[in-house]
Formats: sequence, structure tokens, C-alpha cells
Amino acid sequence: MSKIDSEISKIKFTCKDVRVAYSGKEALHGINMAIDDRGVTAFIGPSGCGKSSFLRVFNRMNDTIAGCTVTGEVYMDGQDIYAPSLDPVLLRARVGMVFQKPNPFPKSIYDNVAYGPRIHGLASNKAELDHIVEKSLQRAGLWEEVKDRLKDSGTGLSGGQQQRLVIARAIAVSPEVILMDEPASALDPIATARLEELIEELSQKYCIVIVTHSMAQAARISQRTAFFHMGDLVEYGLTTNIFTNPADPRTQDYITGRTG
Amino acid sequence: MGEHIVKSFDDEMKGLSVELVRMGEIVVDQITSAMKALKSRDLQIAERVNKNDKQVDAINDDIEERVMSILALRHPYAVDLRDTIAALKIARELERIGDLAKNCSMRTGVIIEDEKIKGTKKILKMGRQVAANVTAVMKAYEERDAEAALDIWFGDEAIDNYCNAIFETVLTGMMADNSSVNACTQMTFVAKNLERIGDHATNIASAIHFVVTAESIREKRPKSDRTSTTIFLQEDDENGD
Repeated sequence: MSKIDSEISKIKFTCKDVRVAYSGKEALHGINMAIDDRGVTAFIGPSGCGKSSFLRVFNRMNDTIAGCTVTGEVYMDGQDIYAPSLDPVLLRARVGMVFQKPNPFPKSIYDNVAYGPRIHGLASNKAELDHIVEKSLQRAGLWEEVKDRLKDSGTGLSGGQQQRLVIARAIAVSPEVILMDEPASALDPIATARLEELIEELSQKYCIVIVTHSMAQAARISQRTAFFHMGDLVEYGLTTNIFTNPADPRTQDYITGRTG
Repeated sequence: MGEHIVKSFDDEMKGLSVELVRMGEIVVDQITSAMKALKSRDLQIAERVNKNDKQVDAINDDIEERVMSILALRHPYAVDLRDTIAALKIARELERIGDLAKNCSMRTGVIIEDEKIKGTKKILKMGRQVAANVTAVMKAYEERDAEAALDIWFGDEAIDNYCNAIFETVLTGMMADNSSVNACTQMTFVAKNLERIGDHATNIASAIHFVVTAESIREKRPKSDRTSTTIFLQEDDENGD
């Protein structure tokens, strides 16, 4: 594994010998990695390589999968996120997640975004909640399109709008990190471009980790790329280097579409 | 290196390479023919070199189109990206070499009019060396041989030395007999053209090195061409007469 240069940017996550197993069968074999506080880190690799399993390590979503065990150490800002004293629900408020398929709640646009702030008690009155909803929708680049129909159902929006609504919902609780698992795979090129523009903007303020099958997308939006293969982290470094001169032949074969 | 999963991508990359090698062969033939025209004082060969340059230009256009298509449709990465970009660069260098070979042949008419002109043998020797360098650099391209490319890159100094020697001979000849000024001037242009072809071959060598290693050649290229700064003085001038 190439060593990440921690002097350039502050480190958000540090992982030591992280292993993920499903019903005792190991899917990730001892990952050591540091993830930058700001910017976009992309995880790439063939299906079944363990990249999505690793993504779920950062907000303990693997805890919700029956038979899944995670070992090793994961620190967020130096704090052990697998410590028994840590509440995973509070962790997930700090580490939001966006999935492949947009999953708005069957509620109004307004309520979708207001849901998190309500349950976490982030607004003391209606005016404050309105402000959070508006600000989140603006940041997600959706406000202008929905401001006159906030009471309409979130599920009635287009795929691209739904994905931005889900991002608005995620950022409404002021997370520090946004995890994205193939967020654009169900979107058309225009909606993808809007989403990528949004990711670029958000990366100024948040730590974003994205799993993508699109090489072009990883190359376009991330500053750092990690290549996973059969449960191992093969190569991790600056995206420019990975896509012009990968060090490992397995990375080269994968990104150039060759048979290994 | 394994083959691409998509076979047509492999075919396109190989096609680009083959076309470039063919362009290299034509360009070497153009240099050799330009020298042959000079040696055998044959204006018909010189004229053929002039005409054939269009073929070189056409291949350059074709390679540009192929590269555009690969970039737009295949989105190459890593070694494929370096290979594609290098093909564009190498085609440009070969196209310029073709222009310089044509320029040499255009000057043949004036040179061969002068029966007494000196330095032709040296020019022909330099021409052979330059053609050999272009052949070698294109072989290095075909075999993606970074070491061979580096040898050519460093070996260009020999061509610079040829150029210096020819300038000295031709300029001295001009000073001794000003009736041959026209032919001698054209001869210096031919020598300079050959020297520039040598430089283009080193640029190709540098592109090959980048394709294979992903690194530019860091060393400074040895340069010995002194033709732009050398002043040849007649002996009596030096005596202040």
C-alpha cells in the first residue's frame, strides 16, 4: 500500500488491520489506511472486492447486517468508533450515507429533510427548522427546483432530484463525513453531472468517501483513489497518479480493462 | 501485459501503432531518397520526395483522427493513455521530419548545379546517420524499448558534430571561392535540416521513454551544435589586414 501523505491534509479516519467477515468468511483482509478530512476519496475495484464492505465500516452500517463481523481499529479524529461506549446512531449522524438507489422516505420533500434535525433535536422552533431545510436543499442544489412544492411527496421527484434530496437529508444533520455507495449509477448523464458538481462543492466542507464502478467518475471527482482487489487494498494514492501511472499491475489491468 | 477485455480496443491501439511505424518507414525513405537525389544529382528523385510528403501529411491527419476517436470513445487510462498521447506527439515529430526531408530535396537543384562544391560526402554520411537514428528510434517505439530510446537520445551529439564539420567545410569553401556561395548556402541549410531531424528523433525517443516508464528523461541532453555561434575568419582577416 502506498503511504498516504498526512502532512498535506488532516486525517479524518485511520484504519488499522481492519477485517470484515460474513458468517466467518473473511471479505476484507486487514486494511491499513488513512482518509483525508477534506476532499473526495474514491474506492474502486471489481465487484466483490470488498470496497462497499469497507465503506460501511466508517459508519458501522455493517453492524446492521446479520452474521457480519468487523475487527481491527478504526479511529475518527483519533476516537475509536468501535469502542463499546460509542453510540452507533450518534456516529451515523456524524457520518451520513447515500446509497446507489435514491431512498427518500414516503413523506413530503420538507419532511424528508426535516426528519434528521427533528429526531436529533437540532431545531428549537419551526423557523429554525425551516432554515435548516432551506439551507440543506440549497447546498444539495435542489432548492430552486422544489421551493414551491415542499409539501409534495419526495418519491414523486425524478431520480436525480431524489438523489439530491437524499443528500440534502444527509447534510441536514450537519455531518462531518458523507459516504456514497455508487450514488450516480442509476442517474442519467445530466443528473450525474449535477451530482458530481455537488460532490465537488461539498468536498470543500466535508470528508467524502465514494464507491464507484465508473473509472471516469473516480478520475473526475476524487483527489485520492484506493484500488481494492479480492479483499485487499492493492494501491492507494493521488488519483492523478493512479490513473496515469499505477504502481501495481493489478491496478493497471483493472483500470485499462485488461484481463489479468 | 494482458490484452484488453474489449478486443476492438486492442485492435484500435495496435492499428495506431502499426500506422505510426508505417509513417516512420516512409519518412526514413524520404530522408534516404533526398540524400540519393543529392548523391546521384537526380532531380527526378528530388521531385518524388517533394510529392511524397503529402503522403506523410495524410498519415499524420489519420493518426490525429484515430487518437481523437480513442480519447473520445475509449477513455484510455495509464499505459493506454500514455501510448495514445505519445502516438500524437510522435506523429507530429515524424511529420516535421518529413517536411525537413522535403526541404532538403528542394535545395538539390541549386547544389548540383555547382560541379566543384565541397562537403557532399560529409552531408551524405550525416544523412545516413540521421536516417539510421530515425529507423532505430522507430524500432524502439515498435518494441517499447526505453533503454534503446535513451541510447538514441544521448547519441544525437554525433549528428551535431557532423553538422559542425560540414559548416566548417562549406563556409571555408565559400570564403575561398565566392562563385559557389549559392550552392554552399543551400548546403548549410541541408546540414541544418538534417541536424533538426536528429533533434526530432530525440523527441520521439523521449516520448517512448515516457510511454514505457511514465517518467520524462531527467538528464540534460548533450548538445554540440555550434553552427549558430561559430564565426569562421579568413587568415588574413585574423592578421588584421
